[in-house]
Amino acid sequence: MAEQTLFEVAEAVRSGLRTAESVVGEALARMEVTASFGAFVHVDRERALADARAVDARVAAGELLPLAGVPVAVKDNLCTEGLETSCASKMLGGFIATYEATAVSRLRAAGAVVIGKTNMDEFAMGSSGETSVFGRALNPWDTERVPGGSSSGSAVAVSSRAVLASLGSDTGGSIRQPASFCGVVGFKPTYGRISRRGLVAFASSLDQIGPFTTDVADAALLFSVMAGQDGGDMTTSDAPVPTVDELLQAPAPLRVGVPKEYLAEGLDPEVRGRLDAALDALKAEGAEIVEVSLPHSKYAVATYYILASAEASSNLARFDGVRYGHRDTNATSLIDTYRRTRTFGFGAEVRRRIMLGTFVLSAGYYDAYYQRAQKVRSVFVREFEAAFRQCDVLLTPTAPTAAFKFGEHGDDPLTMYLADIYTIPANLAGLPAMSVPAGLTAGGLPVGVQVLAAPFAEKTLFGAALAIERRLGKMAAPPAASGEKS
Amino acid sequence: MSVTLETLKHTAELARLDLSLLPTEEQHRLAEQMSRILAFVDQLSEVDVEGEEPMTHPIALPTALAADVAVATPGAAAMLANAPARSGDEIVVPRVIDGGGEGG
Amino acid sequence: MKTQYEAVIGLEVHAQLGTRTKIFSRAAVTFDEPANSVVNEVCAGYPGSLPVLQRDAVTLALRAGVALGCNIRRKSQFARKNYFYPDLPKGYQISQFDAPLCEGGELVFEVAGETKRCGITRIHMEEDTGQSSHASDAPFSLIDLNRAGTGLIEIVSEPELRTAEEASAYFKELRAILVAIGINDGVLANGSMRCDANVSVRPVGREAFGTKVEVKNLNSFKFLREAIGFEIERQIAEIEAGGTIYQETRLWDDAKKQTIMMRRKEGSADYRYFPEPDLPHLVVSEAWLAEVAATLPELPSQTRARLQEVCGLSAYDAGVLVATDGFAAFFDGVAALGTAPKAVTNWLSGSILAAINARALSYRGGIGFVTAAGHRILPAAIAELQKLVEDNTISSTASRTVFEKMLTTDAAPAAIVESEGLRQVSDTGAIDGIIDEVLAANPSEVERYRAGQVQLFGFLVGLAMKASKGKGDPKLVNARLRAKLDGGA
Repeated sequence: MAEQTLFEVAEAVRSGLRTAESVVGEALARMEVTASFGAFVHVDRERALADARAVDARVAAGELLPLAGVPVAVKDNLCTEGLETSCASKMLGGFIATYEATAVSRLRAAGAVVIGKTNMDEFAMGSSGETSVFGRALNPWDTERVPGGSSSGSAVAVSSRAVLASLGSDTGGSIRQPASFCGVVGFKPTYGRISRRGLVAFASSLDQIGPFTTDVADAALLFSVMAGQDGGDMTTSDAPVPTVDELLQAPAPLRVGVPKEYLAEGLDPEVRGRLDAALDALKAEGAEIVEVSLPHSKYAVATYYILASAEASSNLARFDGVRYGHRDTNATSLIDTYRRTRTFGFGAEVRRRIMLGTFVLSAGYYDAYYQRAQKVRSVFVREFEAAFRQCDVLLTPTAPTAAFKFGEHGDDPLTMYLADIYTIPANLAGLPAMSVPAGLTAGGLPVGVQVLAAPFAEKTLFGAALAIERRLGKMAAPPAASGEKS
Repeated sequence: MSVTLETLKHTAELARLDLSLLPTEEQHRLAEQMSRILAFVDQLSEVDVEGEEPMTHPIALPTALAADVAVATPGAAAMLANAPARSGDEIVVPRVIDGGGEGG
Repeated sequence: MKTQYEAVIGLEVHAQLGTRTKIFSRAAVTFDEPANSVVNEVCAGYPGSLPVLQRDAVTLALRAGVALGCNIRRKSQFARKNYFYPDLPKGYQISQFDAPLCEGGELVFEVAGETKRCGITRIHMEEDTGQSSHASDAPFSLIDLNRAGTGLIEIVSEPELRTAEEASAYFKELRAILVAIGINDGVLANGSMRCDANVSVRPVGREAFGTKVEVKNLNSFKFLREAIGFEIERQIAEIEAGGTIYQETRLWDDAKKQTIMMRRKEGSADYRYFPEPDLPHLVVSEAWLAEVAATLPELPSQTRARLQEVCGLSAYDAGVLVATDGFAAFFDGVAALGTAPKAVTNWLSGSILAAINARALSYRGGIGFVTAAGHRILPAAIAELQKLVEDNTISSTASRTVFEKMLTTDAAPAAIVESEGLRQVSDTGAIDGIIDEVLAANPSEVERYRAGQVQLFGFLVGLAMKASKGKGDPKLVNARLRAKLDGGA
């Protein structure tokens, strides 16, 4: 049985063929069946069904909703009214926001129904999903392996087909890397395209919300609904947002750049094989392949860890046990309340990044670390500008390897950080970037390739992604999930 | 660079973390990991950044200032629903010792 | 020879921006609301909330920059000042650090008739904190975030003030400017403007500064003068006694009339400032700046000059009008209706000032003078009252009685004159009758006057005025009495 797309689900609801309530009911049932993958952390079934009935009423009233009745799963760092937002941290256990993230509001306005919050690395800090206070989510392709992170649950929810769409956030690859590991499409738009209002900040100048879907066109649909300037986020752009039809138009023949530095040592041969397959696909679609150079690429991870940790150390200062969330009551003085609340409320990875970020901003180190990294960021932006004068899109691996095993990176944070080497540059330069499934390894693990475009050139990016998908075929559901399909 | 336990302690205090609450081996592991991460990021000293502007936002952003028009607030009850301790419409914290804030 | 010392003083003044909403959120700025009621997710620092800068707050800050002759940065930047405090919801304050909106201005003020100048280092924008309170013996504090996020400008002076009097005069003139350009109503007791002073001393002739001490929360001109005066003496005495001045923060204890140590600074605090990534650069267009400059209200120094040059007031009168809240605008209002400038200043420095001192009248920014009963005293009413004097309808004594009545009723002056029967008697026949009665009742005084004791004339005028119950036109009484006594009529 061919899988449905979001267009088909919404059309079925709009045309009265199905009710939103039945679609959401089915998604809730799928969520039950796939519960062992650990994708979801907060669910309110009654509310989801009530929301679905409200969508049915709007459809009956004649509203033309682009996402009529579409169930979506939302990462646990996006504020949802009435549904817990905990960032998979003890620190925010039980927190209910008084307002809703703009991206979520826009999905709801378009007829989507939030069916639950998804698992993640604590405060989005991690590349494997293992730092969640709720325990890890499992990769549906091989439950011995990580789903990737930090948007682990959102990738798993779509990969396991509990839903066909979910939201994640991407600071250094947190959408694209788990999308690659789980065999789904994961898209990080240009910085400033989608409002960050209501996204619990990790690193404000790098964070961007984006969708996980089973195919490229569905990602275009979600993007077109969520994108656009928001009065609630001054870092949103006023650039016009392409319509979904514009995004899905076949582009003129593309010049595809391959950065030679990305093919250096450390790249798994099987991943290289899938990248070559994607390049062949693009060639077959009429693209011209050119080699480009991004000579500073090797500094991306270092730059990222300074900037992201610095911003995080400040963004996470608000978690002090005063107004919301966890407060340690074993202290009597104010200062000890702060110390105990924060030391025990955060997990080890979050503490480590707060420490690193605090250090690089502190007196005597600011210029050598933080400000120097900000200057290197300027170099990256210029380097990408030069590359995009030679080509329309860049094609790179999404991650150096397919999904790795739990615990494989041991206790070494640096090895884990290097798993983000191909995804980080897009965040530093604010570029749109998508991980598109490009087939399986010999061992049956999915591998994604990454398409990058110049800022606001999403239309070009979708053109290339669609071409790859057309030639290589849409990635099927993992055997474990499809076996359970109704 | 290598991070001493002294630097670690000072940094933790700035961040209102108390590492002495953690097991000793975890403190040492953190010091060792931070040293290695800092040694790794030290590679940026190789990059020629002469004349480069420190960049906060990679794309040009509009100056879209809001109008000075008030929007109703949710009210104290809603805003304090998440507070760990409160008294009436105020949030309760262990006593503030100083006369005023550090900032100005 | 005994060492002579001089003080080096710099002031940091925080002024709240009198906008309708907070600087980074659209929660209303109000006073006296129930705790935590004008708070939204941005004010409370909720996860995921983002600051959104509003235009009017920037316009006010630009006005201050233009009024103080600063260079306006066309592309300024906000920065985060990181520190933990329960009244600081986000764990950082959004402020400006190395790219403030305004730099390099100047303030001119007068001390004891002498004109002085003090450089303005910078004016930057930032957000206010919430407030914490506690009962004296309670082990806990209570947090109210209503004030959190209210817009502020911080005006930092150069360390160019040398005495407590200069510091006080600087702050007074700065306050007058900020009120004139509409930053806020200037009520220091409400925290609308808050002043911290950096004070150090050094031997006269030495260039290097001494160790500076910060004296915080000097929220009245009197405290400011007394605290700085005390601090200068304390530091000199400490040095003379061979002691050390520590870099510390002190508070003024008004009961003990001394500064007390609050905290000692070990090195400088590490606020880990960095550019605020949630806000783009603040870009000020030439058109915006030109509009601010073109619409800048008259500044106190300009008002003083105009009152002297155009209205012919003395420097003293002009100074008093500008230094007293609402007086200059009220003066202009009354004078515009044709009342002579001197008459208006007499009203302001006489009855109106007396009523303010007696708390029967108060000035409210944006509204005007309001009586204790809640009625407004408008410039038109004073113009009308003065006209009643000038056209001889009432005597000037009676006009003061009418004003007193205006403080307790909202009737018009003319109506009060009628209801109180204060209309002046200007009928010659009636006056003659009164005078005749007075002369008949005092034959010996008349006799002595005519014998040359002319000083008795005043006594007889007094009797005649009394007999008229104060309503006789004094000029007419004078003329008729003189005619009857001297002319034998």
